[in-house]
Amino acid sequence: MADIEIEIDGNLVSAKAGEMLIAVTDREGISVPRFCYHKKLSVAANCRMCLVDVEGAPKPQPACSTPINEGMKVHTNNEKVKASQKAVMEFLLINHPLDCPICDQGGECELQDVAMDYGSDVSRFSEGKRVVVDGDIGPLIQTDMTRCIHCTRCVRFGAEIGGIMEMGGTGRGEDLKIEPFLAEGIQSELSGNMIDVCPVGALTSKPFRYELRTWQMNSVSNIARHDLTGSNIVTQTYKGRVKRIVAKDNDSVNETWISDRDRFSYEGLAHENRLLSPQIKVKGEWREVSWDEALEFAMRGLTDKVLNTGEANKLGALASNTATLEEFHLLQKLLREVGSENIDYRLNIKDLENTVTLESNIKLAGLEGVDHVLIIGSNPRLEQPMINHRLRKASLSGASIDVINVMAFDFNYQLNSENIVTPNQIAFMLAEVLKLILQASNAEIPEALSKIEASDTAKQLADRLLDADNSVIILGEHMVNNPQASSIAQLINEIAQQTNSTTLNISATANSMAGDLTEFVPGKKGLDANAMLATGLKAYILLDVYPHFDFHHPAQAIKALSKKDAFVISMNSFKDEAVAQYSDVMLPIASFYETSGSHINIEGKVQSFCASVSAPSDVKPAWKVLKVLADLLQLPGFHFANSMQVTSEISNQGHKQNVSNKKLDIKVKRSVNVIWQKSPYAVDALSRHASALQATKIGQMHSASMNKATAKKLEVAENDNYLGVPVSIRESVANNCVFVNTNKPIRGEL
Amino acid sequence: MINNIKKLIKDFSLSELRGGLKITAKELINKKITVQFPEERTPISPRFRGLHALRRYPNGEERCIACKLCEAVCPANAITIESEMRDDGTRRTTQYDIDLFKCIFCGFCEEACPVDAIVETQIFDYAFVDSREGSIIDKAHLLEVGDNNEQMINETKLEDAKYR
Amino acid sequence: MNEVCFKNLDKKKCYSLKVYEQSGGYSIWRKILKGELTPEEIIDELKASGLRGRGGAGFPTGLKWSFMPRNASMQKYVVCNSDEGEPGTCKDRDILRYNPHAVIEGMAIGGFVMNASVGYNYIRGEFMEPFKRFEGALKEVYKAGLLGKNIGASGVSFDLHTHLGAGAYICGEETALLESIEGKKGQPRFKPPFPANVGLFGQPTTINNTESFASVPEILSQGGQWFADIGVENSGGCKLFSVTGHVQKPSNFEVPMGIPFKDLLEMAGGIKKGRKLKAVIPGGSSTPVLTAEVAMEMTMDYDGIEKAGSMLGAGSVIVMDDSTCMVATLTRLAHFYYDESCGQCTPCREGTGWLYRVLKRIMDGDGKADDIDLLLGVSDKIMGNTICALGDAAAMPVESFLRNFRPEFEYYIKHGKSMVKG
Repeated sequence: MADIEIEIDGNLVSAKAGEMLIAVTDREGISVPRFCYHKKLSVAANCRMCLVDVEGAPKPQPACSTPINEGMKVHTNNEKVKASQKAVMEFLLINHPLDCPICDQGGECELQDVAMDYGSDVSRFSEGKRVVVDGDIGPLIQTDMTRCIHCTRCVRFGAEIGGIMEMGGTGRGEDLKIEPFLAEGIQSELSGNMIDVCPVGALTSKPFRYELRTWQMNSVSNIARHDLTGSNIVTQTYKGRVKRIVAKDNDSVNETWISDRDRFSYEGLAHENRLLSPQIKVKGEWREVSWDEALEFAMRGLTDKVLNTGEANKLGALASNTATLEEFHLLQKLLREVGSENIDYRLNIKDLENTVTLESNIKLAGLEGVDHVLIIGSNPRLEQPMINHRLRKASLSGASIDVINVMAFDFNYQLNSENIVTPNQIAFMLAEVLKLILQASNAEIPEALSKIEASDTAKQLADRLLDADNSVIILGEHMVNNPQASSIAQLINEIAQQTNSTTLNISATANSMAGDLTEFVPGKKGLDANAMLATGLKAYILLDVYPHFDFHHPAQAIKALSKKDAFVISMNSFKDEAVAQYSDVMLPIASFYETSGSHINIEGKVQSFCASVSAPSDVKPAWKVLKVLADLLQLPGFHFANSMQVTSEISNQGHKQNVSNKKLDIKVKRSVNVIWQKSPYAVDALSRHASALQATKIGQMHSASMNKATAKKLEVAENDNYLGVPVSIRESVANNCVFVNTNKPIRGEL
Repeated sequence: MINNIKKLIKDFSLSELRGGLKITAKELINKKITVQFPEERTPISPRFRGLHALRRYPNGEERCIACKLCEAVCPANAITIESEMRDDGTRRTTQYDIDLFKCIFCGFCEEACPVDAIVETQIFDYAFVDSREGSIIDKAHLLEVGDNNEQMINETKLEDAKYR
Repeated sequence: MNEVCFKNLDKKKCYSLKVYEQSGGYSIWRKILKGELTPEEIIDELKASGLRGRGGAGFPTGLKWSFMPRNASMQKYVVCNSDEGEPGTCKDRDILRYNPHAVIEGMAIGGFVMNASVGYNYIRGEFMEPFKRFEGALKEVYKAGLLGKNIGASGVSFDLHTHLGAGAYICGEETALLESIEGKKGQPRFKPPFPANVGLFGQPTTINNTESFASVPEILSQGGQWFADIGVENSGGCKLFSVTGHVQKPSNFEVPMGIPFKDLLEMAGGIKKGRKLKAVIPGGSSTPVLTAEVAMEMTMDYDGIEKAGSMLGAGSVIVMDDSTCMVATLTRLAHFYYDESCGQCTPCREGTGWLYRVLKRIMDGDGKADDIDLLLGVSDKIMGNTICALGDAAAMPVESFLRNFRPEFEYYIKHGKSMVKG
């Protein structure tokens, strides 16, 4: 749009036609008070605080909903404006309880700040004030609706960003009440953002309630490592503890929002289950020892077991995907220095010869601009909330979204089609789509596809991919252990190339991208995670591994690691029974926000962070532990003074995910497939220990969903135990598929 | 010359000694001004800022709501407060310490308090004992001071209220 | 008298299609269906008639209709505002009861002019009888093949739906009414964008009052000039006045614009016996009150009433005699606005409650000397600072009551009781 000039307070300012006045004043740094306006939400113009004087208009105009015109003359500071703003301020304050001293928003309250400028010291209101009775809206958000000034930011957040209008206004006039429509309260995975958008203390953080005043805390920027977004956050700390987390603006990553997982997982840091001191196992008994002693013990164990016996290839390293870039790098470097290539972070994969290797080649912000999306095997809303938010934005601006899933999930946008397909059939369906696409471009049909008869569904999916100018194909977590995983990835890759689509691989979460970049995968002579456990090594170094949640076969893994002659060094932030069972040394390492390092998000963006707080008690950052261990082993090249030096050593070349060229397997089998998906708030140890998160409905997910036919085949009924998880029979699950979504360990073997 | 003679006369007539004895004699019969502390006390202004106290409402509920404004305003960083949500849902302190070595008795805490919980009493003859830690008075102690002196606090605050 | 909307009032079953057609009803619509009238001709005729919006704002109808982007390809809507909630107004109810077909024909013509194929009539929730009448009339028209898609192969389509409100005064505000039709909470939208650009379901929409629509067929059949000549300059045609209050025969009167208030009062049988006129609210509760002296000199047209210091509004004349306590009256009005504020924007949500509470306190005998200034201050702060006109509507009576009857308020505050006996 063309640039036009307007006059604000006598100064000429250029702006774009159609912009709202408040956007211009904000850019120019002219202060206009506001409550209901939020740059990422629609305009409501209901607080009336931003009234300004526009020459020619009979009444003062709200800056948030006044589009600018060429030659417009605006006064933001004259008597008329001040009178209107003071009037509105007086109205806002008459029914607002002046309980700032006990309000958690005190000190960061927009109403408080604006009242300093526009409020009066004495109230003329001598009538009774409005009181609103609060209901419990869930374990994350505390309400004090008497303080509400009805700006409806939370309502608009729900309707526009969260995708479900959970909060709404009921009643009218003075009785207008902002409350959840349903008695169950707020359940959105992004609900915590309502706390951020609330300008007053009506919605505040429940876990943080009454703990501190805002001015007591230090704010340190950090990166949330729970998912592939790497949301930018601000950790607010007090006396060496993280006390609260709020979102930090970064338009290319998380805009101004963060997921509840990012916001509330910090609670786990102070959990009583933290591993706080180094321990060694002597004659089957655990003993707390000093770091020197523990590291000495670890070093001796390694040298005795493998290094001095010339069996370096009997040493293996396994890490969970939440490790930082630096930790991945140091651990693999240590292993490669001593001559072992048994390195792996892909612990949850059933068959490492058959994996979903697929490049991601679209930016997060770019997702907003696509016109067609094909999602395969993912529930992005709960698994990657911020990626889902971008998809929702794309959907709202007209993108069509197709889904191929094993079960129907709640999407918070309109789907073009939701295809519930048996896991065994997904590869075949994609093959159908590919064939149609190849036919459309008159390309040669490979032999593997020649016999396929395409179904109508495939036709529709193919047509939309062909029609779209800018489409993206998203491959999700539910496909990682599909019997035809690598074929699925190959087919997607082929379809994407044929249709000029971009791809997004969200099948491995947290900091997996860093694992790939640092080549935390077996070398040519090395063994992968499954092979290591199957052959049985003599020594292991485990970085933040919790076997019940991280391994695809927990019981087998624990059995392999518990072998008598295996020397296991475990570095963990939290205590874990299984870890204690198989380890010989347990080294307490720093958790999220306690260590410096880097996270790599889905678009390959490296985001480094400093430690917000130092780790509690005797706990050390893992990169330091690894460095000292390497020094003790007298390995060269570990002279790092800080983690930044480690970062700079890591070449940016990295490891590319090569699409496998295994033979395509699209044969439809009849076996039952079990997809084990940790509940969204059980993806890592920290969130598993965050009590408020665990108390939410999402945190409580614990069910094995299957349809009647599958249940009959498996001879289970509703509420029976399947893999230790209660069975839930619903017809929204594909045939021959069990979808286990749980926050607890599973029992038995998949 | 003449001055020297005058001085001689003055010295030999013991006039200065007599002048001194005169005052002594007068003071022997005059009213004494020495105050026998601690049995006797000088009057103190109601605005005097002495030892701190935490007050309660008449129903026994402590006034302090852990707003931490006193902590924030304290120029000497003498106050330390930790807060929590009490079981009945109200905001309360779990710790309220004043370091009397750090305190400069400026009275800002009292000014900042929105519920008149922290006050400075007229007590100045407190003695804190042997150690550094002894100088820190905690919540229980502060409440005790308040409980024991509620009447005095009430009276002095009422008296001072006229001038505020 | 009774020339336009109430033309058939004296006939039996005046609301039936038969009676309406006997008096020339649907002749214009049939002409349109035959292709004998163009939208431009209709707009010109309406402009010539001087018809102004009868809902209260008085915006010229012809001009309003010409603003619609009639050639744009998107769906457009015509909406009739029959959510007659203003205290003192009852004219639309009687139009819907006794002449529903005029409204239907008016809306259909509007739909044709603005190229809108769908219309909604939003009827006030409490109007069960008018609602049924209107629905009955709609059935008759559909049966007669005068509405629907591609009516009589003319290429003209018009579907009309009725929508019953749920009892909120604010839904009489046009954008709140649109929200309500969309199934949302009735809350006004901010403007711009205006409904002519972004209206019902985000499409261009024109909203007119029932009386405006009902007047259109008669204007077109008799000619715009004929209508204009009935009234006075700047206030064309005749207007329905609902005269209520302390008069002998409260009623709706369709009279030419510009009639002296004195004559209108006489038509309504004059003030109740033994009483004297004290005050008049000429245009519904939202318009400023006038004293008897001013009112008796006033003529009933846009300019005349404005000259007297009030507004024509919806033409609902509330007459008050000398037994009326102005403090009690204002308190009742304030309570109405307090109760009906939608609560969306701050000044109105908080201010109406404040006004009511202060007045209630005065009524309870606890008034304070500076309460009058407080009331004036609060109403002044509401005025002009809100999204819709409800804020202004709540503030204006306060200002005018206090200006015209201040001693009565002072007396009440001082003595704790009303100056008026009875």
